[in-house]
Amino acid sequence: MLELCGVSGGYGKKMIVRHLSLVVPDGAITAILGPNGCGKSTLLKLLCGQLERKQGDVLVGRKSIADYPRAVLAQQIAYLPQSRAVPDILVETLVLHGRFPWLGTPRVYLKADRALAREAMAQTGILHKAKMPLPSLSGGERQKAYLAMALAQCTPHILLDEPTAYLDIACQLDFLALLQQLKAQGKAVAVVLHDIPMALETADHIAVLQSGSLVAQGTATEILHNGALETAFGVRMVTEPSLRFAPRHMG
Amino acid sequence: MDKRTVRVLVLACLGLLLAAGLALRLGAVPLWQAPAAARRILLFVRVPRLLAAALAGAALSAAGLIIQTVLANPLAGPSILGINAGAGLFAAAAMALLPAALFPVPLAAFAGALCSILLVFAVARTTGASRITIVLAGVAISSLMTAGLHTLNVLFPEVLAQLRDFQTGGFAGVAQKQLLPAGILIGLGLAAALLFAGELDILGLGEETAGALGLHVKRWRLLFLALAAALAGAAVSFAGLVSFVGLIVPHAVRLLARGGGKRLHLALCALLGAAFLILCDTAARTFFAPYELPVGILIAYLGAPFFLWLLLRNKRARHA
Repeated sequence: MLELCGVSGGYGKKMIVRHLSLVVPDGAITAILGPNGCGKSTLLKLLCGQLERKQGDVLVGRKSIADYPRAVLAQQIAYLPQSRAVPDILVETLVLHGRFPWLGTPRVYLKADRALAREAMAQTGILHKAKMPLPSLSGGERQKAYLAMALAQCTPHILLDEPTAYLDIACQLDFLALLQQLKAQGKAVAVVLHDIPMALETADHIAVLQSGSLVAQGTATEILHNGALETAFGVRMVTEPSLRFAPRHMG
Repeated sequence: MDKRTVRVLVLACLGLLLAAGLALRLGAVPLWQAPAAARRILLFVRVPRLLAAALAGAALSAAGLIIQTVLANPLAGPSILGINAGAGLFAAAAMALLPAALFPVPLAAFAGALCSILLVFAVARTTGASRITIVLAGVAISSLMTAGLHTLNVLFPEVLAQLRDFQTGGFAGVAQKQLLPAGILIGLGLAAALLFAGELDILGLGEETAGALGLHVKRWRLLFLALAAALAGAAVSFAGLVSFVGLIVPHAVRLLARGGGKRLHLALCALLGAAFLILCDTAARTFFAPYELPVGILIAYLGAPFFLWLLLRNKRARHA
């Protein structure tokens, strides 16, 4: 379980997230929603210790994040950032790098690491591209490769920043199924999403942010009915069951 | 190690051996024509020169690969960013101003290389500069350091001759005693680079991803830049301002072993960088016999068009 306790943080002197408290429970999917620039990505960075907090504390399994050395923290939390480099390496090499926090010095990948990397690639459906150079893949396939890298990290907590950004509808469905698998494995999953219907349908727990503060948190039904989405996004949310669009895989 | 890696490494070793064989055999005086002098020619001329070219080629190529990875910039290299010029200025200052026993030249060259590399890094960090801006910052730093070198030329004419060779880059006047401290520094630097190649792989994934994998990004960036400065500085201390090696060889290695890890790339840079500079030096001293072209000039003829091609390719890739 990850817990933010009154955390404030930002870049330089600019404070993006203010006095925010939030729990990301085990065995559940927590979606983070909010308009552009409200601090969703900053919140994830604070949660995984990528960004130093100015105030408050982050608890990782009831222990302060400050008590974890970097490598040990990377064994606890996998974080997939929004923007990623596209180095000229093979997909399997990229995924294998997910095992980095578990290696000794010198960093040499063992058979077991390679097996875990293959498993992760199979999980995200990118195994058939394992021997391809990363730059030759489409945006969606690169996304899957990076997702596989995060899974190969084998952490109890997974933070994903807009993981569906480049995915077509079929891949988005695969991704949602994958999130359910991770949840079933007891992992704590926090995911920043822009697609509100997808978040409402998938997440067990939703946090709505506005200008770096938490507007509301709760289940999908609670969030839909307490006006948090209207407050945060400044638009009226209408639920019309007759128009509901819910794509599913064929067959 | 998989079969492909072993094959590539064996081929690179054979390439280096072939280059070394050619360098020992070819020269102004054919060895079979002067059997009495052959031993002395080999021992005091060709072997030190071969070692110097091999060490400088390996060090500059590995430094180039490290710098390109850390700055995430394929256009970067020890000469383009003014690192060689910084090493040259400090080395020349040490030669002109200090007794060698007090402050060894390789150490001074390392300090100069480190100064330049940190200046470039500061520009890249504080301005979030683009690839081209970083290269331009390197050009400015290079000009500054070269201006310092010319000033030394004027102020200390007694070391003028030594400095002239130094500025073009070459191995004509290399002595064995110069090679030992620089060779030790290069050996240690290459060993450290190979040992920490895993960390370099992770740095290549970008700041955020590397941080998420538990790497202390700032610390490792600085460590690798210092390592690149040590390698480039040690090479410049005896080879002078040899340009473009750190740009050409890493690109060739990436094409040869596409998708390979940084440990393989570093090893190939060391082997093929050594072979490349040995071949270039052999060509420079035999093609124009009885005259000898300093190897730095020959490489500039190869490197400058290569750099222009890289610039064009980089521009096309960004517009694609």
